Amino acid sequence: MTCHEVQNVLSLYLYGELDFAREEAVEQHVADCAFCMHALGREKAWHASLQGENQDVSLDLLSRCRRDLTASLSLEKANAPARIPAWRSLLNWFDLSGLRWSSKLAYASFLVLLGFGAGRAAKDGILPDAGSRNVNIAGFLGGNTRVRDLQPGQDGQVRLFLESVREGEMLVSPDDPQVRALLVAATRDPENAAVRVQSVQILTGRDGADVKDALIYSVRHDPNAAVRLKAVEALRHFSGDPATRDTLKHALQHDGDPSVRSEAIDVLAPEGDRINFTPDLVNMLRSLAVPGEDDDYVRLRSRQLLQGMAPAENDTY
Amino acid sequence: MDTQAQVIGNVTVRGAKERSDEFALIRAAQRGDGDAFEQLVRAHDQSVLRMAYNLLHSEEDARDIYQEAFLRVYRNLPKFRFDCSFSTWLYRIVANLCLDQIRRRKVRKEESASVDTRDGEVDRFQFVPEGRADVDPQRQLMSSEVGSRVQEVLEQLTPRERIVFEMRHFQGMRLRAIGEALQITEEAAKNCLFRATQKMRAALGDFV
Repeated sequence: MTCHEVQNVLSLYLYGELDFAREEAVEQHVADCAFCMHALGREKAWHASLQGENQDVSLDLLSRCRRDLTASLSLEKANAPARIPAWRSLLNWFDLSGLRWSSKLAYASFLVLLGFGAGRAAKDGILPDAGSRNVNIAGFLGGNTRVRDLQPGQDGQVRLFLESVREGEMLVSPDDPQVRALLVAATRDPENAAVRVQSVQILTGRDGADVKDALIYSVRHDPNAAVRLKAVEALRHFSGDPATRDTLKHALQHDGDPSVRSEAIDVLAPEGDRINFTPDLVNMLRSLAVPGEDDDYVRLRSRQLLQGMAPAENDTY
Repeated sequence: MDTQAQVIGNVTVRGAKERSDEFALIRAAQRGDGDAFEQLVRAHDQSVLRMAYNLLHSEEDARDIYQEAFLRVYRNLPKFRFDCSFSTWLYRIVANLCLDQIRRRKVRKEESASVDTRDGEVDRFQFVPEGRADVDPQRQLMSSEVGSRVQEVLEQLTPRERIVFEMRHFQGMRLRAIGEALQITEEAAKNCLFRATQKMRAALGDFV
């Protein structure tokens, strides 16, 4: 690097925002160049002179802000629309406001037809009335239901194609096989990372190949770092298993999130435990203990582990 | 093993447990737990207020930013899907609010040599750190000159340069996190910081 290049990046160097190679190059250059060493001194001086410019806020201001926020939140909660009960939502479904008169008439005719058809069907035993074990129209309409399609049937009947999304709440044991299968499936929920991370948390500490496979999948494939982190923690339960160890090593070497990598090394080589230094583990630790490793914790922990190896083990590898 | 902030050598690592606790707080707040929301606010509000105050140099504006930022967090928390860290999301909100305010000010050319405080309008020079009574008066004078020069340069930075500089220099955020918060690339954040420090160095070169 030239003096000009070095002096251009001195601030980034002081902020620790240069990559490893450039940082090394700056240090080497500055060590041999009195001019740039002086420039570095000046750079440090103006950085230091700014420290006094950073005003800390008074506790009084902070507490006033907190009081204001508490008041605003109370107002916010008071003005929040009440949660609409399901039956009101259903009424909204029949809301005719905003429709033209001809549409309203058609809609009203349809509803009359629907009621007439349903009554007739119930009377004839085609469509059993509410309480039947087979078809329960109230059961259909009780959820978030919409008519996807409809066709006129015979004798005034109408054939409805309904789509219903039912929301429900159950208090269940995660040990129930069906619940467990749901939880395992939820670890791959494509929509909601929060559901995935909580499913992983609930499965933590449970035995079984289904659980282990789900956790391994999460560590290797989940796009969300919080989910991967939880899954690495949960794999501690299977840390003796070869496939699990391979996954943890993969996370340690390739995961993009520092917390996941830190957790992976802690699960692979727990502090205070007797560690089985296999050749591939030792090789990996050696590759991580070098200055080129960006993550300080991983680098220092790798060094610490290698230093803690019994001399015989060190000689072996 | 407890994975909370660990110290190896002189390196402190923010532990997995800490993140996990924050995750639990967010989930609880999303379910409507007011105490959990308050804990989340208190974990971050001091640095939010400091950043707003340092950028805007007005207690009233900083107070408005604080209110608006946490009200937005409250309203949108149910939609938070953990696609980024909570603090990145929060700083994104705060940074956007501050950027808007700085831009509004630039347009209105509101800035003057005075700043608002709850005690009324006072001269900005009052905020230049005062030395102790026994400090060399010449040094004090120099310090106040540096302070006013710094303010001048900060005003000359573009809003984005200023906010990046504030986040990196005073809040200690990494460029990657700043980029995420401002929804720009890390490289763009680095360029902003580079330009800001060039201007700052040019302005302060005579004083150090």
